[in-house]
Amino acid sequence: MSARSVPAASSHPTENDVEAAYLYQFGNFVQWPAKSGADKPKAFTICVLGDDPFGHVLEDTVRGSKMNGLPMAARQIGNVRDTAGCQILFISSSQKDQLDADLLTLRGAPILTVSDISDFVPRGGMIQFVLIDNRVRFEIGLPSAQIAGLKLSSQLLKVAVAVRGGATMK
Amino acid sequence: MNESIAKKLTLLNVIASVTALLCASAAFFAYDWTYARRSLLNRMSIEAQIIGYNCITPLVFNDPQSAQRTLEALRASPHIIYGAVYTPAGRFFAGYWRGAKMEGHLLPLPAPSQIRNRFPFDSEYAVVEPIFLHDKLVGTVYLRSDVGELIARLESYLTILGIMSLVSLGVALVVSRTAREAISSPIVRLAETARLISRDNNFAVRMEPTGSRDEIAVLINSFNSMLSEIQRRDAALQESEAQFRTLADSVPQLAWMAEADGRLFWYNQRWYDYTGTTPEQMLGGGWESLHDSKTLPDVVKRWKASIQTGMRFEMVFPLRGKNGTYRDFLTIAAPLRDSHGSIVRWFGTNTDITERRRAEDALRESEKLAATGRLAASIAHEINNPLEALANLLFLAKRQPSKSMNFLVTAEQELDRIAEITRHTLGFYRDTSTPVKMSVSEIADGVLALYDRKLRFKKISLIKRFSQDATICGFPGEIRQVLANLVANAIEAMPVEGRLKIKISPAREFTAAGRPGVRFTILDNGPGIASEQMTKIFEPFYTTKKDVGTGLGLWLTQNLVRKHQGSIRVRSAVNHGRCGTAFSIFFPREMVQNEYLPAQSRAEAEG
Repeated sequence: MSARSVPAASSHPTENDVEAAYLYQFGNFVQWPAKSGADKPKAFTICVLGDDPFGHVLEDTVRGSKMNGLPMAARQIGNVRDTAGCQILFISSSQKDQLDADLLTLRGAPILTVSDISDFVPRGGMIQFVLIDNRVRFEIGLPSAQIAGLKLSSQLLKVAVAVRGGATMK
Repeated sequence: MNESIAKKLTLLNVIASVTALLCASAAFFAYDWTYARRSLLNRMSIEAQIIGYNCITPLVFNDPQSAQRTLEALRASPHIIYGAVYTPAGRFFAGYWRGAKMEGHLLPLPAPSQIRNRFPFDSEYAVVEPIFLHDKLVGTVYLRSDVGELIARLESYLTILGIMSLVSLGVALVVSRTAREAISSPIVRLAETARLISRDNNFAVRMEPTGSRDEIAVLINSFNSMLSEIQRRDAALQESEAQFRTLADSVPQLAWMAEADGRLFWYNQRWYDYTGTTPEQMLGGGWESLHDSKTLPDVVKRWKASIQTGMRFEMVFPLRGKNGTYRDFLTIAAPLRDSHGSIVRWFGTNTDITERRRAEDALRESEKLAATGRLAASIAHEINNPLEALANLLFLAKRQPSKSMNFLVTAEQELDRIAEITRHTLGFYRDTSTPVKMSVSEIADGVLALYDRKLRFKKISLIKRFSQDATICGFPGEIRQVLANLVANAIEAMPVEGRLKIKISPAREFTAAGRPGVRFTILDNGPGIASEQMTKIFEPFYTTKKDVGTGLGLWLTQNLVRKHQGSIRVRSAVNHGRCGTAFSIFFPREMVQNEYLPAQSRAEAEG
């Protein structure tokens, strides 16, 4: 459990490895709006929109794990309209050009959007990976999360490099 | 000595209060210490948990700076000297140090089993708290705290204890000084009284009761009753001693007491009256000067023997009176023994037997005269017979001159017989003043010759077994009297046609000494002597022949036997058909030259 859940600095994991692990961990610090009945999800799914930069790493990370009492799954999708059942959506850099359209589509959907595309947060994304001193960090955009009805824990905000658009923290 | 009980009481009080204080303090301190230690560890644990919670995301998202910022909050807890977060692999993640000195000094994460937190062995306390995220270990918090807080607590505690001890010591001293008066002063007074009593021997003193009802009051009461008892016993002892002195002074004997070792230390008044001495003269064996120098060595020898053996001392010796004349005293001394049987002292009496001896001599003399009278009658009888025969023979010789020669020859024989009787008779009163050698058998023959007619008259058969070398040294007249007495008694006692058996033989005495001598045994078949009479037969004036006897015969016999240092035994049977009496007398061959040997009675009764 330890090797997968926490990036080990000394074993020189790749940027993608770290990002895959973070994607996995975000679920712990985000609260999704409660759903019931038929809408209740059967799994906690991390989706990758566009080209999957993680390869098998993400799948390896989530396999056998549970999140919020649900079995975890990883899925690659090609179209933003296929996000049904996704709790976390990583938008690959291959989507850079159609990002604004994607974000517009996703606006208000209870899906945590994550990407390493620059200006992701100012453009309406929720969490953007940034590389600072060769370390993977992230910025948070609160307004879009609030619109989506997601509650990000203060602990998560604390370790963010920057939290934008919110009067809540920092 | 007076102060010691009081001091002990004070000391006891102080020790008791200080001990109680120390015990209470120790218990209180132990509780407080445990509580303080636990609350310190609790606080550390809570701090560690807070830090752990705040370090979850820094750990998960690999943000040591954020963890560092969280750890900086420990600055608010000055006792924490080190705080750090470690990854689940045990690698250092972020840390906090108090003071610059240890800055950057990474401590390895200890295993929980290595943490003991025991003061004073551990100068720092450590707490390790694991950090979990949904049951998954994401890291560990490690805090170290100094124990300055506990030390400060200990110091303040010891300070308070010291002050409390001093205060309570002072209070205990004051209280016990007040209280000890109540307890110790009666004891001190008791001790003082006891000291006065033993110094002055004044048992009339009494302790004042304290008025309380405690053990000391009981002690004082017992002490007072003990004093009364001592006084009562003293009085009783003095009275008893006075009674004894009165008694000892009023007895007719001279009396004295000697220590167990034989030193005489007390004499009664009669002793001083008779001897004309003073108590000072009697000191240190002064009694020896009152003895005849001839008998003194023997007296001393026998007195020493009695002291050594513890045997009763009995002896007759002369003591000089104040007028310078000696009188004979029968001295008897008996040992007084304690409960263990060892001799405490000797009690002695000296009884003046001079008068008794004179009376006894007179008795002996009168019995001798009486015996002479009886002998005379006996002789008259003995002689009368041959005289009658002689008269007849002379008459016949005158009437028948032709046969006169034969009658004269027979008459001559009768005259010889008369002459012999006369010769034996003379032997009774022609006695020597010094012992001479004699044959007991010859004397017995002479005695029997005198009783020949009586024997024949009673048709008594006589059996004689006389040894010819039965010789002794002594006074023949007295031996003759002894034998004559016994023969006469036997003949008197026997019926007609009785049997008389007399045996004389050399023998040894039936004692340990076994002196050589001669045994004379005379056995009759008379009616015998009853055992209740047996003890009396040697007493003077005891007789069964009220009309003819003086009652002195056997008494004199025993006297004469003793004079010859011999012994006399009687055995008698009163059974029908097997009756009779046997007297057995032993005469030693030689007499020892000491007329003051004690009288030895060897009369024995056998049913």
